[in-house]
Amino acid sequence: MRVLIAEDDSVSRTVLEAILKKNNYSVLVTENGVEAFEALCQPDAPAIAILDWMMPRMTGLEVVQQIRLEYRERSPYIIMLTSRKDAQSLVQALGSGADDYLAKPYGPEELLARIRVGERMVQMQNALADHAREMEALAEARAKQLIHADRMATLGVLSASMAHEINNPVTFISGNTQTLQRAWTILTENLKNRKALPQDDPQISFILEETPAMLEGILKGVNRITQIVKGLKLYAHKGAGEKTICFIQDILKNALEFCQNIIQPHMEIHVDVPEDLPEVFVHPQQIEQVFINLITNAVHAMGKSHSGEIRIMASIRENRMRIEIKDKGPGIPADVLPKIFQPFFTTKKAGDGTGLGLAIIKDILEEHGGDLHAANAVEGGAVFTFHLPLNQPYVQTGPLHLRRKP
Amino acid sequence: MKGNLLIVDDEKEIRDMLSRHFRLLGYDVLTAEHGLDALSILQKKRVDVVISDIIMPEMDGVDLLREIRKQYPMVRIIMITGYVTLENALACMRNQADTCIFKPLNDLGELEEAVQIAIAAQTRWTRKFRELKGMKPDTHGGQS
Repeated sequence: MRVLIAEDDSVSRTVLEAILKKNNYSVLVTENGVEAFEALCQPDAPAIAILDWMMPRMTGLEVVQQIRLEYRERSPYIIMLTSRKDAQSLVQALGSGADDYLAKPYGPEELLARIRVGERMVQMQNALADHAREMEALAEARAKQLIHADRMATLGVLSASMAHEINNPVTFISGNTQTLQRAWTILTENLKNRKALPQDDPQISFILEETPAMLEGILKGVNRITQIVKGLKLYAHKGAGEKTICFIQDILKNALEFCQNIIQPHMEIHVDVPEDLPEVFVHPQQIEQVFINLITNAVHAMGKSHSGEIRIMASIRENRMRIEIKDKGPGIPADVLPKIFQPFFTTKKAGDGTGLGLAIIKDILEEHGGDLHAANAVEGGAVFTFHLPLNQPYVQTGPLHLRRKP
Repeated sequence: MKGNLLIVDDEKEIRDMLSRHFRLLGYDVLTAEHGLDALSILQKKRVDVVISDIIMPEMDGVDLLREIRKQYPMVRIIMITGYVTLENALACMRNQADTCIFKPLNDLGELEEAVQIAIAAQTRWTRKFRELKGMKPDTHGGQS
């Protein structure tokens, strides 16, 4: 630990410095109060200071008073050194903010003992400060979570009514456009058959050529709105149904069947789910949706690459069901990771994803008393891990891999 | 003429849109704003297929469906709804709607097909009754 000493008398200073150095302290030497004060004001100032009381320009007492006045949080442990032995001086020194008081002449043992007390105090103070910082960070994180939860709840209510309100206008935009498409085809076919299409006007030719594309554009927009509205509705309802006692492997089997059509032929799906896992108490459709969403994401992440592998693992950790879904895709970029569960955040091309999938399933899992985490695997690819509470406390009778064997 | 349709929806834009579409395809189209309105039209006009929304003021689509099943067994009904819920779909099925199609109808082809099937079924019944009418002696009821 570093110790600052302030002593104007060169002999005393040298003796003090020598004692400290001999005991492996690194020493910052100052020769008067002003120097000492300046040094203590630095951000990397020593945590322990030994100040002589009587010094020119600024006494040790003045240094203590000034330091306590200006640096309330990060304040050094100060030992006042003086030849005054009376009780009144001791009271004055401690009253001014000194932590300890050492009367000259002193033996090296006493000095070192008092420094060790200082070290203990400094360590305790640091530990407290660290703890306080941690608590503050935790409080901030909790506050953020609360704000987030509140926003989610509002969004849920809002989206349910909004989805229905949007549906009607979308219906007549979509319907009218489809009718117009039909009418346009009839009209142009008819004119063509009569050889009545004007050939000489570039503007008319342009309109004849471009109108189908414009109508197609409107329908594409409508389809995209429809997808978003569907996503919102799902987000608001998350599917009805009752919680039941069920086996995770049954839910996973249904989900995999559902995903058959999106899983590419070259992709390998490894399912590592022990047969004898205990039951969970869940909304099976909702958990199926969780699986479907994560498997779909994994398939999309691996895209058209020639080899693809998805590994689905289930195990029991700390009395909870733990499920990991690992892919061999490019992984999740660092800047995407913190935003990945935000509603409407998507890395997919506009129109390909609504950015609601992960937000919905995270909500589902949290409502089940579980959680969902995203990370990158050390060996590459993304890993999504979620936990679900078990139906009953689980008593493990032996290592799973041993019990599985007949 | 391909058939007589009655379109029931409280949203004018949707009524107009569907009406235009099926008129373009060659159907005769009537429209109504809600269930009661539709029933009064059914009293006066010949209708082959009703296309009805579910959520409407005065009388909703499911009640209209029940009434039609009771009073006009020959009329076919296709339900369309923006409130896609299991309850609504089940209510349609239990009251023997031909089918239930969800808004926003991004493929009007589905509705067209449903209308064609409904008309075809209705045409078959009409043909049967015509055959019965042609039979002698009259065996199909107490009317002289």
